[in-house]
Amino acid sequence: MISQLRTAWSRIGGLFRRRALDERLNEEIDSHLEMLAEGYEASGMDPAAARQAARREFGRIGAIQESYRERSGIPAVENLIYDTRLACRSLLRDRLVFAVCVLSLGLAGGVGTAIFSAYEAAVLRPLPFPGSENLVLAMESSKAGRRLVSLPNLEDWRARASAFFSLSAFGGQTMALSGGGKAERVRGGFVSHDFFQTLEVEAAMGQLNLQARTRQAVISHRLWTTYFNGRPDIVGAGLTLNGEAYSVLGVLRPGFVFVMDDTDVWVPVENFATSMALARNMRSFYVLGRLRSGVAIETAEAALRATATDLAKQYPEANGGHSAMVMRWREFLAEGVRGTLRYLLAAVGLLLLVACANVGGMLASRAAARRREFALQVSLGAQRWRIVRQVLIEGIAIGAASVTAALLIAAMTTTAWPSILPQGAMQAGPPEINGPVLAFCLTVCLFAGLFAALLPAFGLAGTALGPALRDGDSHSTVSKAAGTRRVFLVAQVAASTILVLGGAALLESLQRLWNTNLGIANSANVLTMEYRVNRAKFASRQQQWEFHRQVVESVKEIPGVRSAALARAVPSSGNGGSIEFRLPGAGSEGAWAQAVFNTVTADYFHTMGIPLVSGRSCDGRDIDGGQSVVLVNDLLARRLWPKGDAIGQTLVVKDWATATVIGVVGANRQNDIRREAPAQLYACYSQNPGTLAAVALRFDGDLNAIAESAKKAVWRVDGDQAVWKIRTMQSLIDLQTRNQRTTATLMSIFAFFAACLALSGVYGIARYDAERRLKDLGIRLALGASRSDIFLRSVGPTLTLVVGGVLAGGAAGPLFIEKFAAAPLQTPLIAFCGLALIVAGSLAAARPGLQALRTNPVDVLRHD
Amino acid sequence: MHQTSEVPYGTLDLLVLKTLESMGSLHGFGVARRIEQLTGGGLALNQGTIYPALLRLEQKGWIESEWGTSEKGRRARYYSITRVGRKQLQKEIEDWDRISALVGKVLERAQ
Repeated sequence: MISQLRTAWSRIGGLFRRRALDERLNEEIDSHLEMLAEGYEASGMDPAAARQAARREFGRIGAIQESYRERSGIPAVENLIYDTRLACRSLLRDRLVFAVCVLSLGLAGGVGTAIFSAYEAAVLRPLPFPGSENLVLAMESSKAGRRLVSLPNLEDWRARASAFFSLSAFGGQTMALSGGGKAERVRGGFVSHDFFQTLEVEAAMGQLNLQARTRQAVISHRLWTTYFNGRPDIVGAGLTLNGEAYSVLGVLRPGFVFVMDDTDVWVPVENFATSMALARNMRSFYVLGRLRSGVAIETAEAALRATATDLAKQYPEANGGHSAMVMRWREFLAEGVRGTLRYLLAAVGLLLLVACANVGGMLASRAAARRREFALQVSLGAQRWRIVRQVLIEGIAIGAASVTAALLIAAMTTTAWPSILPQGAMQAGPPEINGPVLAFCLTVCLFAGLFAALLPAFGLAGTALGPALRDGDSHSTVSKAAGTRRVFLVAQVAASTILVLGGAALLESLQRLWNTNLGIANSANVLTMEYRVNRAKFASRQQQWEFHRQVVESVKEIPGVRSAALARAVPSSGNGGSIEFRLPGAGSEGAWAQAVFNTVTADYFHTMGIPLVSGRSCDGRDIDGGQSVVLVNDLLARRLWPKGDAIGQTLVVKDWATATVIGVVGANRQNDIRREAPAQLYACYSQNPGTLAAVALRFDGDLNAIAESAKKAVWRVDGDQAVWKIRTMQSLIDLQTRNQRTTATLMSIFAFFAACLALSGVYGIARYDAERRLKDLGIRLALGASRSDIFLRSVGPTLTLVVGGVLAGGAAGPLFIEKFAAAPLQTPLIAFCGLALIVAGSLAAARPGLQALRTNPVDVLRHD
Repeated sequence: MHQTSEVPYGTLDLLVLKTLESMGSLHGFGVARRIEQLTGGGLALNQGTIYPALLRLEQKGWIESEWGTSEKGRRARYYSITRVGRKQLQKEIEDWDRISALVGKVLERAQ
């Protein structure tokens, strides 16, 4: 045992003392031979005969050296080291080829790694809460899809839901924080008393189990250190939120993030803005649940559905047509980006394929060029698989070098992710180069390198060696390698066609988005900002309306402001909701329909550039307590009153009033500019004041100056009023299309790279063909063939491959786009992209052909 | 013409160890010559094969080697048996005796 260990150890040592050991043996052999020869000489032989006799007696020196060497090290490892050294040396000899290979794979691998890092962070990485796989989102659902949950319904769910360890409501709203001097706006979280137990987070100070219906607050670590200057007696300290006095119950651990990373205060859910929010039909909250361990999500959902069905029977007015749904919290967070990231990963897969094919093609022709070298090695006794291995090692070496390039690219790009991904997708932390990402990068790059090297390597393994040594041309190696390259080329062209089509589809849908009528004119010149009236200070509806009215007047006085108005929810801001309504009269009681609801002041439509089709906007006549009025958009008006007599008709608006239609306005994409405009209902602020308002103003001149004056205009009405989210309509719209723009940009870059790689592949094979046919061309030219005929002959085969690839890609492209992207591609665009690729391909293919034509046939014939 | 036998597999190690035990420090040529002398040329030994055997024994730690100078002033590598090597030799000799006795018995019976 010990002697075996010693042997192994000394063999490993032998790997590093190869030369010393060899020298030692040679020296020993030399002195041994001399000693033997001396003996023979002493017995009377002449020196030459003595030496010969000595050699005979000693045995075959080569065999002994070999057996010695096998024993002194580990032959397999030594061969590997030798082959690796050989491969590296041979790669370094072709520095350009090597660099291009590493760059191609590194680029594709790097982009893939960067996208995978986002996928890992957004989809795969577990959330930083204990047992986070048991966290679920529970929501109500209706025909229209997922809906928020009302608090009374949640109470009933809780009472009967045995599948859940807990169910906690949460919602967010900005709150005015004061007491510490300057009024500040903070994001507030409104949560059930057991919310932090559901998440299983620990307090940094104090405790986190809020009591329902109290004015307790849990604050973020950040708020404690900044606003409260880290005062040690924070637990139990007072703070004023929306004008009400709260006391601090506890401080969260630093770095605690739940959905929005800037939530600073958490208070019991009952403190939510309006008392209305506590009604059964006011669905205002998300519900976070923790499944009991071992309970399947399907079981939990079925149980919750059953409860919801009972509740729908029990409260038909509020809950009719409502059910419930449960999904994993992780999935909900990743919902917005998972599809896009998968699409991009698939696209990167194609890009990688193109890069592999390119590298494979290059290695194949390199291998073909080295056929003599290989044949010589084989004839000298090298085993064939060792030659294959050498080529494979080259592939691995290229892969390994490209890992470095890929990681470099990925490291540079991952820093950009946090500004691209939505916050919800980064709950488990931002994308980074961590273990899984590293493993992905290594696997992808090494596999790609190996794959690229594999096919040409097998093309070589079966090479007939005799011909390879005899002459340089027209034998199986070349044709095999060229055949492999052709397959690569078609695959490459097809894959890049798919990518070009995918990029085109995204660009086209983005273009469509820009070109559609968003319903809002010149959005860069509309500034918006939000505020929430302090309910403690302005308690009555009358006071609230008076405040809002004064704000509008004050803002209008700013020089450069052309018009100004208020809206409960400016388009694309994420605020706002929908409302149910029906036509009055018997027989229509059950037929509630939904519309997107907004509350505005007189000049809102004018300010936004939404056309007033007929009737009038809100004005001084629409007083609180008078006849309730609404405006509808033209979509809804056409649907309800096709004869065009909407003005003066009445609508029953659920939970509000029977209102008279005073005006019809143009439709706009209120909630999401990516979706068609919905049916819309508008009420007037004067009749429907509330605390939240967004100022919208259309201005000329400098944005920053106007924004500054607008804030001051609000402060002229009330100096304590916090104002936030100051931004243009344009930026709101940009925010909503950010995801699309990023995807489209990335896809276009991929498509560009893929096309470049494919075209270089086309050029490469065309040049290779042209060179091989040079002699053939020479003979034909000498025999008087026409130049155009010869040109077609030389370009034709390559062009066929290009067209074949484009057709294959064109056929597969729409399937790929359909599977991953939303927008289908239009036929003319497919045709255009295909043609463009074919034209580019023919140019790449024709160039070497043209060059070949310019050569003098005599030179060519003399050359060989 | 006298009869020669091939060196049975594995016995070369034994011969080398025994030689080094009885002769002390020797170079490769010395070991080979000594074995030939003792067997009276009865073993067909390619002298070169002694070197892989020496390496193998050294790797196992049974012998050690160092550079030295031969009686004629030539640089040569001298091998000598180690303490572990002596113990191993003892063991191998016992094994050899036992096995050859066993083989002998089998052959006697078979006759």
